[in-house]
Amino acid sequence: MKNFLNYLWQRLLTFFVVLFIGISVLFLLPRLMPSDPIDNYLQRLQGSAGQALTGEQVAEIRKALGEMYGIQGSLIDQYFGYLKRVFVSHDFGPSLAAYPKPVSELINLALPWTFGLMLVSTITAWLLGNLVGLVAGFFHNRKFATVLETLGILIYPIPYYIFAFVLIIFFAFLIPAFPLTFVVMPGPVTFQKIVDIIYNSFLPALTLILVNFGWNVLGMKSLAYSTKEEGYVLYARLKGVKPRRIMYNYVARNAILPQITSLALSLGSIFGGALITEMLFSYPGIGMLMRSAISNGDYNLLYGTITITIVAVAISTLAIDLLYPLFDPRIRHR
Amino acid sequence: MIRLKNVVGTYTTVRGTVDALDDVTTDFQTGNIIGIAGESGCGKSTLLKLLYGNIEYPLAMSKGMIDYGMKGPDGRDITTENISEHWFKKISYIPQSSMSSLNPVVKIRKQFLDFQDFRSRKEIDETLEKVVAFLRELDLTPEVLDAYPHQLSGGMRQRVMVALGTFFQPDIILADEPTTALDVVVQKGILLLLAELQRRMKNTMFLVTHDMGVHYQLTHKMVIMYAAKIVETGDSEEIFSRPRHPYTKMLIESLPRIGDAKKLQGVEGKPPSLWDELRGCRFAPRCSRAKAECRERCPELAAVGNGHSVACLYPES
Repeated sequence: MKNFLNYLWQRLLTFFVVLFIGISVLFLLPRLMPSDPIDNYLQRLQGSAGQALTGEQVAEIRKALGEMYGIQGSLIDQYFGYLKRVFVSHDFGPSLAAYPKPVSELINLALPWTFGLMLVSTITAWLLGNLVGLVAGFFHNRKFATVLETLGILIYPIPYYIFAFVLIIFFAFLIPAFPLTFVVMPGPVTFQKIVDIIYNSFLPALTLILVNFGWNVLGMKSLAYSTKEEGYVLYARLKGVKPRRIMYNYVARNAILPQITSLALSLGSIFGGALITEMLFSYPGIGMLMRSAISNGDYNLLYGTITITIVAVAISTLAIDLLYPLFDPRIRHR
Repeated sequence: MIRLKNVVGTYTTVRGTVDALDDVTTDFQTGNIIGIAGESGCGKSTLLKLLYGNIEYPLAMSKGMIDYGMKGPDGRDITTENISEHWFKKISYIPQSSMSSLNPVVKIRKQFLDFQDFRSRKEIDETLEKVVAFLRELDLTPEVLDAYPHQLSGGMRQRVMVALGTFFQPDIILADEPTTALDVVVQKGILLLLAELQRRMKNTMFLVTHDMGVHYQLTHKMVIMYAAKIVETGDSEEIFSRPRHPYTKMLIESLPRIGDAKKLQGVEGKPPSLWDELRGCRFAPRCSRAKAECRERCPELAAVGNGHSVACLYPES
């Protein structure tokens, strides 16, 4: 127990260091972008006003906007203000592009969509991929195993946005079985709404599942195959343990360990959304939000969306480090 | 009696096929500890695999048959084809590496229970009770059942392997260098345990080891192998006191004895490659007594009295 507390303390320290570094880098990155939120706003203003603003007016508007958005003062001042917002007040301020909507409101709207889509597709792909990979690796010398493995090899190198296009062309355009764009009416949750959500999310989810499925099949196949050569699997076979039991209790039980780590890492990236998938299907998630934040130079929104990703990845790696001993008794802390 | 008739064990390799066990005919008397000795590559492991019926590509039993002289619980004769149904119940195997032979992420308890299917919780509890009683007989505390393999010492793990291999009181036990990775004190404990269990259960135990001292102390019968052939078999006492084959004699002379004054003799040279065309006696190139005839005619294993057989044209007297 003492060992465990010692470990926990060190692990938590690393956790905070990782967060701090990630968030500091995040602070600098948008400021290196060529687009400036105030310039963007001025351009829009001039466009809609239909007449040129004088130099004086521009300078005045600049000053007012800078105060309003909280992006004035030296970089250092901005940095400390930013750290305070992230770690103390957990508030990213208003969106610069959709002013005065607060960033948190935009994120709260988008997060459930991304979370639902990614969680379902990541877990489905993990379960299916590992099951198929296990069977393909365990029966590696049978014909059907080769077929399964070839399936994985064919699927995994295809970029998921290509998949998305192909699925859109076939199942939304040529055979209009699914909608081209995502349309779900806001309102209370009813049975009809749930059906709507599933119907509208089906193609984006399928895209993500197929790609992750291919990866998981290949990973698990090679793990299962090499585990099968271990001494304890040979001994179990010579003991007369039934093949099914060898597959589950011996091969799967050992080969799954690295796959659990990889699941935790992909669960961490759930909050980041699938940028391109969301864009292609105009899915109202974090990915779409991030894209509009980038093109509008919306610092605050970008900070909000990326901070969530950083925190999620850091927490999921922390969780897997703390939970891993449950799956592998060899690294239990006594 | 376990009878081997003209057994040939063939490996398929990229270079072609090679006979790692070449036309072996011999009888093993049941109820004994039978030691198998010989250099690496002499066919010891192949012989064990064929006996155990663990015959998988690239190994094949290309000729001959093994008569186990046993019947299964269903009354049918046990043969090479069906022996895998009787693994650990009638014939069991104790591997050399206990660390890599136990599932690292599963408790020992489960590894005692996965031989069979259980229909009820009660059946499991009954079996566990028997396991606990059996472990006590082997000087193992039942607490090992709740341990993972990495929590046990090397000696404890090997005792667990012995317990697993003898739990069903099989008629035949194959022990493949069961003490190789252990220090001599632990080694002695395991060997005495094996000998004690064999005396109690009266089963046939095949013991493979390079250690001639172990063979001398433990075995009742000896099988000396050289280059895919059995060159000498007989009672251990007889073989150690009156070896008839020059190779056996050299192996025994390489054993240290208390009070030795002169420097020990090793066995010079190395065995022939099984890839070459082998004519005459396979030991002839290393034999100090070899005559011209030895290089032409292959000696058969022949009885020389007292249950002692030797494959040599000019055996030692």
